[in-house]
Amino acid sequence: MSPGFRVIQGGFSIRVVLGPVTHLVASLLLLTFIGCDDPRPGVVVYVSADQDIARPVLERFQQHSGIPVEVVYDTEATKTTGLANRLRNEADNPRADVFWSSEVFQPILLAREGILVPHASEVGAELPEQFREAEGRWWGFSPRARVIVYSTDRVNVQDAPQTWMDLTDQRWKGRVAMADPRFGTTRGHVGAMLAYWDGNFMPGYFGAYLEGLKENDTRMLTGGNAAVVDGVARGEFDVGMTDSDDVYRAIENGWNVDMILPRHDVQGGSRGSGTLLIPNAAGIVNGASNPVAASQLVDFLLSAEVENMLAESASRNLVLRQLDPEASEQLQVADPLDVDLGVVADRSPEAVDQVMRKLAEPSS
Amino acid sequence: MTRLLFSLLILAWLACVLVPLAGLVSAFIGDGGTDDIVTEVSTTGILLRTLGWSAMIAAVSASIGWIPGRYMARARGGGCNRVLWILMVVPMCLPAYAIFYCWYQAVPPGSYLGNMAAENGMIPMLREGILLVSMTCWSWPIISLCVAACTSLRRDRVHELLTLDAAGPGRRLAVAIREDLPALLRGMLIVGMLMIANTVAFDLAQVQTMGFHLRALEAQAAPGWMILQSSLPLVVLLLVAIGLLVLVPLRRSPEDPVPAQPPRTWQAVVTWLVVILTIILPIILLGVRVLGRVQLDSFISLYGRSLGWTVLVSLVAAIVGGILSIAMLVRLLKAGRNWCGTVAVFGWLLMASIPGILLVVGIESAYNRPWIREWTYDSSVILLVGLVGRFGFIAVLVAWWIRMITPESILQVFRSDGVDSFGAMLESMRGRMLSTGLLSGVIIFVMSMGEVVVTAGISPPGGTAGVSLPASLLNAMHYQEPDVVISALWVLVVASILVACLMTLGLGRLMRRLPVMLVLLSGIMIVGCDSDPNQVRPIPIEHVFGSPGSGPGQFNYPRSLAMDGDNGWIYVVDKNARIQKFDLEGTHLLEWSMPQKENGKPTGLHVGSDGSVYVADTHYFRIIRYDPDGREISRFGSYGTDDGEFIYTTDLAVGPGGRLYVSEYGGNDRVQVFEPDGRYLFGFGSQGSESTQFNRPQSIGFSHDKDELYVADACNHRIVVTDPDGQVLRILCGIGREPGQLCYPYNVLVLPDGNLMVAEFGNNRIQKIDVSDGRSLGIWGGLGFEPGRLQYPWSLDGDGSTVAVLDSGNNRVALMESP
Repeated sequence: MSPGFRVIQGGFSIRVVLGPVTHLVASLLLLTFIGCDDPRPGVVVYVSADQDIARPVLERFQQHSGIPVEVVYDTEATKTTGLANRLRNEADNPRADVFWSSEVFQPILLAREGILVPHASEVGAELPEQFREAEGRWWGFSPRARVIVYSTDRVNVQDAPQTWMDLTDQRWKGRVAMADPRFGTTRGHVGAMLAYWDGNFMPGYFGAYLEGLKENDTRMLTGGNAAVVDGVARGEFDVGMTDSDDVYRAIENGWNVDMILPRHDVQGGSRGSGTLLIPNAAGIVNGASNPVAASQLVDFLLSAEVENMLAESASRNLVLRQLDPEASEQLQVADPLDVDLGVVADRSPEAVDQVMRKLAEPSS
Repeated sequence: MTRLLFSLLILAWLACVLVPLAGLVSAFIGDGGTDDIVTEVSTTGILLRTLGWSAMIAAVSASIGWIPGRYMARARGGGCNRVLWILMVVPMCLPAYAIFYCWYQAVPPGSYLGNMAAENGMIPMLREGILLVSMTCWSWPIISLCVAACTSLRRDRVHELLTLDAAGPGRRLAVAIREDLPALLRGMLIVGMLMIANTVAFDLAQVQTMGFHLRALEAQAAPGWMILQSSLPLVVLLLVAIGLLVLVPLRRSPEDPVPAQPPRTWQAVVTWLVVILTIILPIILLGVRVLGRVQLDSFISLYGRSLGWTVLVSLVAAIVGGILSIAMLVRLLKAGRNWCGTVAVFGWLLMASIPGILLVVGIESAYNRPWIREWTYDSSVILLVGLVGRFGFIAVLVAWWIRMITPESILQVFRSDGVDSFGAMLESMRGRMLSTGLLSGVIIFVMSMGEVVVTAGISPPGGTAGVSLPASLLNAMHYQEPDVVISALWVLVVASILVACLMTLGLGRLMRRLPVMLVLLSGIMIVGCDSDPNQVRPIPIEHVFGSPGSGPGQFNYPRSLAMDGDNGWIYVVDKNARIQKFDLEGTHLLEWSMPQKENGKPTGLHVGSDGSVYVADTHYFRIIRYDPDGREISRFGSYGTDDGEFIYTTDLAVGPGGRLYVSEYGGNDRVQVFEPDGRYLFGFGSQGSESTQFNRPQSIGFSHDKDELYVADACNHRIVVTDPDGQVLRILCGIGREPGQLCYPYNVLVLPDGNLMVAEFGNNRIQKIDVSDGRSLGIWGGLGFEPGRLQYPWSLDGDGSTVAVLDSGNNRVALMESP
């Protein structure tokens, strides 16, 4: 009789391997390990920014202020909306003090729902008005750019698409990828396209643009922006719509990709039609149990110190201030897309609906 | 004891099934939905795709796992077969999506196979092929387990008859398939259910399944009823599948078992071939990949705590599940089936079938209530509720199966003897009860380790490193850190081999100690080491003033305080970069602002013997001196690491001959000494934790009587005593909460009796310590908002008869008689 099935049969042959000493040691190890949760009250922050980026920032805050930080991170299985929905679920009895989102659109919606409350920040007042709310319920900082990733093996930089409209060029047929627009920054980006073109060019242009993408057999990927970069790197696609930090990580991994910061010009050269910047955003939760610490954390996130940290991190966030000229390779966009982020948040559902109706198809 | 088990069963069902379901219903009723457009796509195609993939993986797993299952049922015990068992357990202990990821990373961009696939437009095919292979590698041992279990129960007389009949291979094969079909179907059903639930691997492989669709709905803030409506076909299917597993009878153990036929040689060859190709070879390739590119240190630093915590929580959930399974078995043995039991079982099955997203909503709605939140929703208990609720059906299923396969004769003896006491029951059914608990526990442990959606949705906040292991692995995949993921998987492989070794070697004694361990673990998890702040005496307040705000007499998180004992004045600086001046009654006298504040605000104040106010202007790397009316007298310091330069100044003390001792941190972490006019003399200390080093010296005090300098070495949690030239004389205290220990000492004051008073930011208290040996002479404060309690005290000062404590978190100053 094989050893495993003695278990099933019930004729359990007990081998004395773990004696009382082992039991005691195991208990003590568990005691030590679980042991003494720090009972000090700190600031509870829900973070949807990348854990390896956020953690040093929060540790620096903890070191500066001495305030313990307790964190709930996002997971790529649930994406940013997981934490935002968690805040909604907990609205009556909030657990978090601060919400740090890797993108701004969910905080905009949360602010409108009364889940984030006003906070006056002197540090935040230094940042461009486009990236903060007048009432101070959310504050944007350290943005990422929406970019076109291309394969350096198959595409010359001179031939790479320079505007989003270039993706409808027939030479990219079957070679364009984008992430599912129901999530994250892609959702915000399609909303920005719709809002900007409707307001600055002509209504209906977005729909026509989608038709062009459809004719080019643009693929929507379930794996998000990172999957777009992966697909371009592997040769499944030549170009893709993604975030700047995903491209930077891929380049660090030695993949043969690079990026263009494309404009949203339709007729060329108009100011304010440049690259879309999607900032991180932070706000204080309504009903936070530690508003003093919460305001300190938000101010810290908006500080020049954090902006520098994120600019020099693996995600290479862009800077909004003119900072230390000796800091290496800080990226700034001189002429970002001039669009009201609140309007973008409003129009994103409509934009997503249009994209899904035109481009969604079963993957396999 | 029986009643205790039944009580546990009822309690678990109430806490993990009924209450969350009630919470979900309550949330649905209150859910107004969204006015935004929620894009819905046709779910028929997605559902069919989900089922198709699950069925395909189950079928391929069955074809691979069948022969090894028959072999394992008949193989004798011994070294080789024990190794086989251990290896077969390994895949099941690993997250399925991590296995896919590692397989996919074996064909990275630029590789030969990857380039060939790219040139021929076959990348999607390659990716889906890898998905099929990796999921099959993960799940075929489950098929083998089912086949082996059922094969070992069979009366092998049929094979004697086939031999007598000289049946050919074809007929033997047909008979074998017919005999093993129920077990194969059972295994396929289990694998299919696991594949339906395990959608993360499919997301990574760009295969859109129902799980992804449900997450898309959640991302659009779709109301709960819409999510449930979309998932209804899946829920029904899962309920049917689980129902089949419960209701389709298993064979009972034979009354007259015959010795099992020994396995054929070709079965051993096939089994070992399968194990080598699907388990051993991938492990070796994984090891080769890890060698030379080990990112274990990155993984441990980022996710080490996650790993430990996930293992611990899963272990507790497994123990609870094991005990529940035993309780269920006892219940079934004593009372058989009745409507109560049926309702209870249905509840567990329902919890297993509904989408994890909705389970999170239900748990939050039920447990995030002010009157119970502290010890449920805000603690690790809520994770236990989520995991036991999610996987409790396994305990039910296993108990049911064990009950089904118990020979009738044993059941009759059990009943006829009128066995009522637990002890007698244990005596007669010990083996089966232990088997039930162990099997349930192991399966629940494995499932809990890989669970993502529920744990991500309800995990209580942790330290800066806190997130579950599965989420950590997913994040690392998203951050394009394949070496970190592969290193982590290597650790998990080693750990699962250890677990498998323990399983096959026997855990009987451990199981007998389960109740004690469970009590111990549960107590620790729930209670922790929280010290009751109200065991600390409150400060005997004489007077308190201040409140939150920016007006005169109000504070915005004040961080330093200094007293002018001669004139009875108190100076306070806060995060408005304001210095306010009060009398001892708290009457606001004067205020002035710092010249610059954009970079940050001061954290140190000191009043000199002439009444001038020294300000450690922390974020401007300098000291500014004011007269009592706020007029600047002088300033010195600039940014740098050289002699006489500062990074973050924290405090100042006046020593012999009027020398100025200035503490700083931020990389310098030292004390520098200057003439009264600011000329640099010398410095001592560097960043670190050695006896001559500091880690954030936050405050300094000088005793002219003893000619000693006292440095509050905050992040080393100690007071460093030096002579005026910086030679370390002794070190007082160390980290902790006990008397004589410190936690982030932010300020030190020399009392008239020569001893020290320390403001402990981390312990929310002030403590008087003996200056010679650090022995505690009194503790006051403790965490709280009411007068006498403290929240994050940053500073204190005294004039010989009165001590003023800066209660920073409560935005006030408390005055007490000098102890």
